[in-house]
Amino acid sequence: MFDFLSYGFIQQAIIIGIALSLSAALLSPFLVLNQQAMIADGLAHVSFAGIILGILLADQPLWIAIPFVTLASLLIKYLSSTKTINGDAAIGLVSSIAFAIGLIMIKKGQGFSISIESMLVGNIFTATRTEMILSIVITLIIASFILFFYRKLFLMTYDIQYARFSKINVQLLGYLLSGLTAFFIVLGVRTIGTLLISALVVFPSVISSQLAKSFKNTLFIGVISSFIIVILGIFIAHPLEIPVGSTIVILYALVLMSLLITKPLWRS
Amino acid sequence: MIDYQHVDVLFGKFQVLEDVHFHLSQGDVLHIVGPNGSGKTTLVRTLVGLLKPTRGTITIDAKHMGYLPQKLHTKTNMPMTVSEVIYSGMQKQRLKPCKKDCVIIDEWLEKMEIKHLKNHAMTYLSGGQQQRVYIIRALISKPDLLILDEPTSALDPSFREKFYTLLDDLQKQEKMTIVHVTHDLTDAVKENCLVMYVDQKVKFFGTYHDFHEFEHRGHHHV
Repeated sequence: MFDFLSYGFIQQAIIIGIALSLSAALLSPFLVLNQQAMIADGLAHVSFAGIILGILLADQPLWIAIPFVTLASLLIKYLSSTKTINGDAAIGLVSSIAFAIGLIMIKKGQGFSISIESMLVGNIFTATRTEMILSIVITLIIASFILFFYRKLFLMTYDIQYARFSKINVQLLGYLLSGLTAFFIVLGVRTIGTLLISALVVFPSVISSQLAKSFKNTLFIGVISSFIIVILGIFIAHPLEIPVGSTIVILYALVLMSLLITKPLWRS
Repeated sequence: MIDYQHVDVLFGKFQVLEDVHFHLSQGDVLHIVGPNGSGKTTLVRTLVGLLKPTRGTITIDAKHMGYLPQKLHTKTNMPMTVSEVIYSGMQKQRLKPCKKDCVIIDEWLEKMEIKHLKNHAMTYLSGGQQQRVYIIRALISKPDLLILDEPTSALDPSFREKFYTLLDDLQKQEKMTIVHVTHDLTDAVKENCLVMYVDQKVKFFGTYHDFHEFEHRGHHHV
């Protein structure tokens, strides 16, 4: 039954899946509960342009895409800190401009042979070894960042004014959080796809906050549920020959729906 | 401890505070009163470092400050427990709180009569219960300067009295400097306290006894 596990590309896909699910679930409460859920979606659009630029300019597109998207994330953060532009407007502005540039580059780029569809839905089974190593690296960096700054990030998430009063460098931590999100999104776009990668960030906290009373448990349940769902998604999608990203999103949606439906029962 | 030298705060062309000038020594208790929109909260925001004055200098010589804001910028639907919120006010925080810190949290919850709420989610607490939690967050690190912006607005009258007695005991034990913004001086006033009446400018600064005379001359802090 599990013969397919002996294939190298499946093993690689599982490792990438675990790494991305952990990264996303660790970032999730600090973005979603701070009304920044859409930053993942916006950065996915920016990644689209970043990866195209990378394909046109280098052998390994990630080396161009990662700094490109990180810079865009810092630009979003900067614009949303100005008095005249809101956070959601900043995401909308930067992501639509980047997406427009990406589409023009596809049309005019010399020798561009990758289909737009593959960019939009991604494919975890065709990921390279470099992508797998980078996924592990980014997971380790994100996990260390969250564990080291957990208390400061928690205070920033629920009360930014008190965090400023407590002399926490909210600007620097905010930029670091955005930068790490950008790094994660670029890797996720290649494997899960531009359209669905933000689901990996949004669902874990929304699901876990239905169950958890504390912030700590929200993070913990998010990591566990995300891990199970992503692995299950890969196991279901491969034999059925359906896209992994879509399978993961449907599984997340089913879990959330069943929690919302049964919530009145177990709450009482 | 606190020294304000000719402090002005302008929002665009609108002058919120004009030529604020006062001095507080360690152990002083200052009650700030004034009508709505008089600049009390703006004055507090300059004191806690959340707002820079347009002109003038502010010198604060405090090792550690505690602060209870008037408007809480917290996310009401966020999953977080009472103890998590209180722990975020501690000076030195670890990933996992140590036993000593847990005991301190328990003692404070008992003092504020909400021990049973320790592991409750903040979302399900009443406004008054939440205010007690944020009061503990401001006090738990044993600050030498405590700034309270309308701390009792959501508290019931009987607990309000207890809270001010608790604050008075704490101030005497720790020689804490307290700056307290309020609309109602009745429960808050203890002996030797200072009162400031603000309405864009400092209209009065002195003892509570002298403030009575100032009020009788026709000023009311409503």
